[in-house]
Amino acid sequence: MVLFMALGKVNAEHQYRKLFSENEHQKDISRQLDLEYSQLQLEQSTLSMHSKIEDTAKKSLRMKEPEPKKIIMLEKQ
Amino acid sequence: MSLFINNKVEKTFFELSGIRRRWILVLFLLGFLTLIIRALYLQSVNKNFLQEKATATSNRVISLSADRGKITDRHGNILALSTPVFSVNANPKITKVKMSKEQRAQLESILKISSAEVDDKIFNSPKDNVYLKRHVPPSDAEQLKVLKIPGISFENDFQRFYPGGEVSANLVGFTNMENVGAEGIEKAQNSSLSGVAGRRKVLKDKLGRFVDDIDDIKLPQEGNDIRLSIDQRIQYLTYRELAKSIEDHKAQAGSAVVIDAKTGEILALANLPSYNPNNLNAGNGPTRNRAVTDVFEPGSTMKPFVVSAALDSGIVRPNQPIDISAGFMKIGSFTIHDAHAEPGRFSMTVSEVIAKSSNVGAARIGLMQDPKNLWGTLNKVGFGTRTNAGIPAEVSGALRNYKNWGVVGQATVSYGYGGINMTLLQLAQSYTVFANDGELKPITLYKRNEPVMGTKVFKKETVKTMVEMMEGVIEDGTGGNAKVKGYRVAGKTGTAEKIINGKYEKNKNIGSFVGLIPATNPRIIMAVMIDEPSVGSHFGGVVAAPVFSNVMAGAMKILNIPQDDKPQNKIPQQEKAEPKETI
Repeated sequence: MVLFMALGKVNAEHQYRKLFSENEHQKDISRQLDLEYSQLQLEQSTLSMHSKIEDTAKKSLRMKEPEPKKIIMLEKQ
Repeated sequence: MSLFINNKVEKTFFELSGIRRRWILVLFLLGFLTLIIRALYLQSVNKNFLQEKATATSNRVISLSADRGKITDRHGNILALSTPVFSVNANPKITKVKMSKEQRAQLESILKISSAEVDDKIFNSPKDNVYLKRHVPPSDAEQLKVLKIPGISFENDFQRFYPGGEVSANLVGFTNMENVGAEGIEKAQNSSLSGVAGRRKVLKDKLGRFVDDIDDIKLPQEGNDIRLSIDQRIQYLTYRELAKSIEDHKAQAGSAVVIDAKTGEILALANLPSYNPNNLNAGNGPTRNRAVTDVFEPGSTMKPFVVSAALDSGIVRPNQPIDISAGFMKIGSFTIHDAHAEPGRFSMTVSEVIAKSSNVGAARIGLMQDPKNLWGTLNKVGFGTRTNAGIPAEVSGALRNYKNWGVVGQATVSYGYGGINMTLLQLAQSYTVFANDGELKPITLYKRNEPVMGTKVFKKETVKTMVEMMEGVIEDGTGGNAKVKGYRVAGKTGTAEKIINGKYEKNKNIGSFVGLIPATNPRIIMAVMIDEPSVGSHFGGVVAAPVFSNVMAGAMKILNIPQDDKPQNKIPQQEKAEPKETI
């Protein structure tokens, strides 16, 4: 009886450690994803800089600001 | 007989064995005693040392680093962000670094360090723990890890990135190698941003995997994010236009502040020269946030307060003529003269004094007032007191006590010279009285969610009159370059000689402009200051006012502020679509 209990304990401890290790591995992955997220955030903010957008709009899309004459202001009804 | 013999034999046997037994017993006892002494010795005297040795092989204490908080603008756009990187360490005293020639060549090329540096740091270093290189990007670290060089280890670290670069560098600041704020907001808010590192103790198996937590985990406390009141789009516009004016007029430096007139939030604060906080080693080092650390004599941008004080107490009326004596006025041996004097003109209305920026006129209006009241007004609009907007290294400027003014002092203060100086931020804040029916609003660099109470300085009617006068500055005065199409603008130009070693330098000026837009109900205040413009002109109306105009034209669109000076465009008549019947 005692022997079985002892073996059971050993088995349980082993299983626990295996799962714990797996958990650690998942945490590593989560850390990796965090890293990727922060890099993507940086990339997003770099790409959304006003200067960048202005540059693209003016150079590659050939957009220009409308003249005041062409702007029509709408009043609240 | 046999019994006797038997007895004798047995007796001798017992006697013999008795001695041996005792000897053996004593030996055993001695043996046990030694073991017990040894055990006691190890358990008591050497206990700590041995326990450390034992746990060191399987237990590890890991520091759980806390992420440093982000700094964002009011819309959540990132101004500063930490991303995980690695530090490459070696500990040559404890683990010998062994690598082949090939490995060494790869190490040098990945880390971009010279062979001499490797020698210095690994093989000739007197220190225990050396950083081969800090802030190594994760991709490079992965390549290095594959090489599996014994003795080289990796440590988690963070590096701070500033997507805004030099546009907001003077404001946001930067962190040092240890991730501690060294300048700007990074420094001011360091304790809130940095958080508290946690720790955990783990049990490792022989493959180095963590298999159990031994102690309670102390979770790291993540740093707080800081949300500034800055609007990155306006900040960029401001920086760009400021840079353009400094370039055009070959100026030394410049600053500009944009404030939300109603809430007192700072929407943009730009300074030049600036630096790139992502690459601090590239020559031009950090420069200060001039808009809060440098004071200057404001010159004519002071006049609206002096005139408002006079209007408020009923000493003058807007249309009252003021003697300007053809732009010259003598007080004892001191002469005041107008920069924009019209020969043969001896009087101006109060409105014109503001529009044409007459020093003599302002001095006269100043001298009509009780010095204590005038001082009280200037003190109330914040001169000589820090704005406490939350920007580090802010200075208070100076406002000399009225008891020490004398007549000359009172006259010169009235047009912004002598005994008064201020930062650009103070100047910008003081103009909030003209946008809030005479209330001075406390300003802040952090996003506000609720409106704030101000301090009443002027009457509502006084402010209304003054804003109209300042519209005159733009319409037919010194500030024509500040016009923004579609909007009415009120503002005041200023041009002041710099004081160098206690003397006014005629050729070194500060050109400034403060404006309110839209004038019918001011939403935005912008103050611009250009230091030592040397090409073209040195007048605030020429060097600083265009910056206002260009930035505000963009900012009005960004903020969707309706035009108050409409070009009267009519909506083209559209043919009404017949409502279709649906089945």
